[in-house]
Amino acid sequence: MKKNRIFSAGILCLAVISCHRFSCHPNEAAPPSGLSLYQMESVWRDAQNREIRFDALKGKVEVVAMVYTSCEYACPRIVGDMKRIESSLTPAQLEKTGFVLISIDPKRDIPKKLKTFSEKESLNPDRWNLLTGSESDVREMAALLGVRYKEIEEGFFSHSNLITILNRKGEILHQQKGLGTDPDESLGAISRALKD
Amino acid sequence: MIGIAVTVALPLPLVAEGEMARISGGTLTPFFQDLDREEKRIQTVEVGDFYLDITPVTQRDFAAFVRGNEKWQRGKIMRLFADEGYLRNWPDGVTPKLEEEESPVTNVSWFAAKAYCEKRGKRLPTIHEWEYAARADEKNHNASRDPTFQKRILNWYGKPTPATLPKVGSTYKNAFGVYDMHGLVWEWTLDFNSVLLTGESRTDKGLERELFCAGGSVGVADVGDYASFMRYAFRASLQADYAVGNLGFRCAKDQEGDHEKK
Repeated sequence: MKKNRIFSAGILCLAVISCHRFSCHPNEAAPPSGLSLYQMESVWRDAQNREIRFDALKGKVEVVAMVYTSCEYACPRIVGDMKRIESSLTPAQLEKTGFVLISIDPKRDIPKKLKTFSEKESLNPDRWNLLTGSESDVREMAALLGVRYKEIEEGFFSHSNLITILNRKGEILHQQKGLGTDPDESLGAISRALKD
Repeated sequence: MIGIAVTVALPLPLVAEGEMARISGGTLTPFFQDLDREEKRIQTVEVGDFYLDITPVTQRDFAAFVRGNEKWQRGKIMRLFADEGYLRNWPDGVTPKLEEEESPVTNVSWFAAKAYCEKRGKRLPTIHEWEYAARADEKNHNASRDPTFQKRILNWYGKPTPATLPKVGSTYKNAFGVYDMHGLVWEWTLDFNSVLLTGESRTDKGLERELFCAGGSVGVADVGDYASFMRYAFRASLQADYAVGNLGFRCAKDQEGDHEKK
């Protein structure tokens, strides 16, 4: 326990010194809870080809989905459903909410591809994180989120249609299943998460 | 003065656990076939050479792992990595029952199984690897078309889980030199969550296309292979944090010199 506190204090100092868009909340420096996905120490690359630890997302509510850029049917609709959530939030809520797309096709979805996809979909880079990582980290992330996926053929995947809402501590608050699902429950969950 | 004679049955292993068999790779016909493809022929995959534990991991071996790795102990493990059933059959949470030390460890989540294998410099086998090794009977490396073997497997699946799990090595040794692929416990695989099936509820309409983005049409290689249906359906029902009483695991390893696989 004591070691944790010293560690947390160190992080707190760092957070105050280098406050960036991912986590500007010093009170989020406590060790992650038993259900927090931020216990994952995995490192990913984003659309700007920067290395980013998954737990760097801590502090904001995150709307997360696993997709791949060359997906023609469901993934654009998943992104559409996430945008629908985005456009239904108030400006105050938007400031504390992020959107994450994690690729299930890391072999092909290199950072440059993510960037092209992000631009094509007009995703605000201040709010949207597109991540690519190792195949084993992707498999583990899917396991944590309850997402199922399989490469049927080269570059063609079958996968769950699932949007997950993580609270600011990285715990799963709600999951929106299917395509074109009414976002009301997700919006309610986000609202509750931001009240804490 | 009454002398009491106590007989203690020491749990002796039937086979040397932790040992691995070298599985020479080959062609596998995966159970699920994508029917939308242009070619009409049955799809196959190539399974490369790999090593596989000859038995499931025992309770004794898992206990040693847990003793040396606190965060995987019952009571200390994060809820993210295992549900409330984790190691529920160990009375004090740290030691298996004496009579089950040589039995396969069960009530362990995918995360825990994965961590155990990784600690040993190994990994979980993929579904394809597991299925490839599992289709062998005592004499043939591929007994998947043998109705007698199929019947045996179904008989095993039909039996209820015994109160005390039998020791590893107590079922059969297959042509690869691997024990207990059927008839002892279900086993975790690395990519168990690559099995996407339809929903179970009666209100589900057909393929529930909206829940999964799939090729459109998926069929099976052999509709008579009920045992495979059961295995895949079981995999599809799992979440990674589940601890299940008849679900254990064994580890695999790449061929020496291979790059890190998926």
